[in-house]
Amino acid sequence: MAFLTPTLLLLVLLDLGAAEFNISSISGLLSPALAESFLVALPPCHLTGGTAALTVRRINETTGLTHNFIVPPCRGRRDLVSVVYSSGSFTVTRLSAYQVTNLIPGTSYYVSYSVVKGNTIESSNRVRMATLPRRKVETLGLGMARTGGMIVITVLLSVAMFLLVVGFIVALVLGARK
Amino acid sequence: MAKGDSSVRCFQGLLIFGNVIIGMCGIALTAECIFFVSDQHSLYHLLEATDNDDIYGAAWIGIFVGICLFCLSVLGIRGHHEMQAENLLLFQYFILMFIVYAFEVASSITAAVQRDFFTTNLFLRQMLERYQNKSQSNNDDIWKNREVTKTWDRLMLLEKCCGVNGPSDWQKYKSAFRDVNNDADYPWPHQCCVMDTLYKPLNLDACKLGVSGYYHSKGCYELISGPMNRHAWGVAWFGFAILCWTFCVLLGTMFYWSRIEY
Repeated sequence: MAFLTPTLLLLVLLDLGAAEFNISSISGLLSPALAESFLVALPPCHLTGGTAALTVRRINETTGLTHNFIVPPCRGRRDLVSVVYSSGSFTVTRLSAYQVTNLIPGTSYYVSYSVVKGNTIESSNRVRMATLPRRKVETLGLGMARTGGMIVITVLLSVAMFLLVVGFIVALVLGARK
Repeated sequence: MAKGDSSVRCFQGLLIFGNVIIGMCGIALTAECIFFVSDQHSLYHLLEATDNDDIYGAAWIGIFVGICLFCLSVLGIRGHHEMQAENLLLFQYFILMFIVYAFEVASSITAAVQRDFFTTNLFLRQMLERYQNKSQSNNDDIWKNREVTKTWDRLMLLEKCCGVNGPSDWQKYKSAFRDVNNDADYPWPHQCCVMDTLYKPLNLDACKLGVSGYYHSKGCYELISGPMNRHAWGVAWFGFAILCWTFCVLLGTMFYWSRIEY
């Protein structure tokens, strides 16, 4: 089952429409792409307190999962990165997003909202989001990085060893002849 | 050529000097190889698990070769000082030097060749297959998995890095870690999170989402390959330098023995 509570961090700038609003994907912008989940921006501030229904379905399917949650309050406006506390040496950034989990790696999904607040229902555009594909370990090639160094050292030392043995035999022969 | 000639004595002096250098280099090689075998960075288990630990074998050979070179240099100096007509000391010196020379050749070539095995994929594959692998197939595997897990945990916590290339290694590839931990709670190990002074994650949620500043995005490969490359280069090329010098000294000694000694 997916998380029901949104996690706190980045925010997304949203266009305000009459009965429609736009969302955009923020996965991969300030955090790395994940294989089994992605981050979806929250609905805009004027829908705070409403019941949001986030529909996630695979590209070639007709039905998907719906996640329900209450739209959390805004702090000022919903910005991409809002600096909450800055004290010279460090800055605290806040992110507000919804994390959809338990997805299949390497698949594309369509994501859209439908928010009910009071008597109004607002829906969002449909955004296409994809999860990172996950490869098998066996696909990793284990070839050696061949360098010239090992050829050089092997050749030189083998030749040196050979010359020493030859030199020793010659020295023995010359010495015995005397 | 008579043994008392000044040029002969000069040549003898040079060979004695050559042996002194061999003795000192032998001690230096022993000290260097003891340093490498002591494994200051505790990375041995990563190599042992891939059956690629021959650079440690080369370092062990280097320790004993160094001691032997020192002893043989003393023998060589003694041999050059002998005033007897029949000098067997130099003959024994040659035989023993060949044996030591052969061992050092083996050590240098092994270290130089094994170094070329250290690629990112080698450590990545081993990490993905063994880290937190709890399968009980055989005792050897259980031991290796446990040691690899301990080494990686220590590496990631102390060196503030994650995975071989970065935390995305845990996302891009299937792994034993992924089989025992669900992706939502553990996109990567919690050892990759930025820790406070009590070694607890500063903000676990931020770490799990990959917000910069709350997790370590740097890979550990440089911290593994750096010490190992230095180890392999030190054993291989210092050994090669000693062998070059020893080669010249041995050739000079053979010439001295055959032309002058008899």
